Amino acid sequence: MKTIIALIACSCVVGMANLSGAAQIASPTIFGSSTQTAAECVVVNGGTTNLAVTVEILDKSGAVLRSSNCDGSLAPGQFCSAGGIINAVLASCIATAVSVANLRGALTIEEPVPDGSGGTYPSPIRSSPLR
Amino acid sequence: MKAYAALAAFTCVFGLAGPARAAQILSPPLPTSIGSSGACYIRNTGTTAIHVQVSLFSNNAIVAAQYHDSCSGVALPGGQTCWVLVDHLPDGSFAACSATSGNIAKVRGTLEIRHRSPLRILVSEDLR
Repeated sequence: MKTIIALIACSCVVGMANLSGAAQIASPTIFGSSTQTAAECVVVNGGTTNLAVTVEILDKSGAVLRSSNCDGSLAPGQFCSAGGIINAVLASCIATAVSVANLRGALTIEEPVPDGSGGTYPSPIRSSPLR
Repeated sequence: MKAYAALAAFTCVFGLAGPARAAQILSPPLPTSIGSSGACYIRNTGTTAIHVQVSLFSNNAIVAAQYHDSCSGVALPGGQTCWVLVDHLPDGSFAACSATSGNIAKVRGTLEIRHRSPLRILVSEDLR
């Protein structure tokens, strides 16, 4: 019986231990055509405590194209992003933090839209969530 | 001894869960463009009415007069949908939507970023 109790206690402790340590949420790889060259990966902290978060946009080989450390700490309810013109065709995004339970993110591909004055502005055309 | 084993198991399972309380689902954040509006639709998939607190928020200020909330302060009947609409989201910003309820397991939601004129959906993501 002592063995059973020890086993239960051990399972409980080990189960809790899995909640600590760096964790990650990631998007699938998504495609942008030759005119859809801008990407934005945004995360929001839905928790109640500050969170150290790193956001990275990767190419098809896993090389980092854009990154942000969110100024070291992301406050509750605050957003953080990495993005820009990446010209990658295939891109994905990962966000790393001690806990990702309350972290949500999405990778969005943007394309230039005429602004009516001869210029353009970026407009999101598709997104994929980080999980 | 069996009682100790049962107590240990109970503490392990329910000690982590804690008492029932309001829980949240949250959308991934999405970027806005120029002339974007936002919508967050919340559906009660259950059969009994629940209260849901919904927030569509941004990293830049949303004008209060452009924020329309049909969810707060009223019970959402089973099978029904309520929404928060924002006529004009800040340009070049980010937006997300959260829903909080005592019975969040029955709540589903989606956030849409739209172009206002002509009206069309740009991107959307589900709350989870």
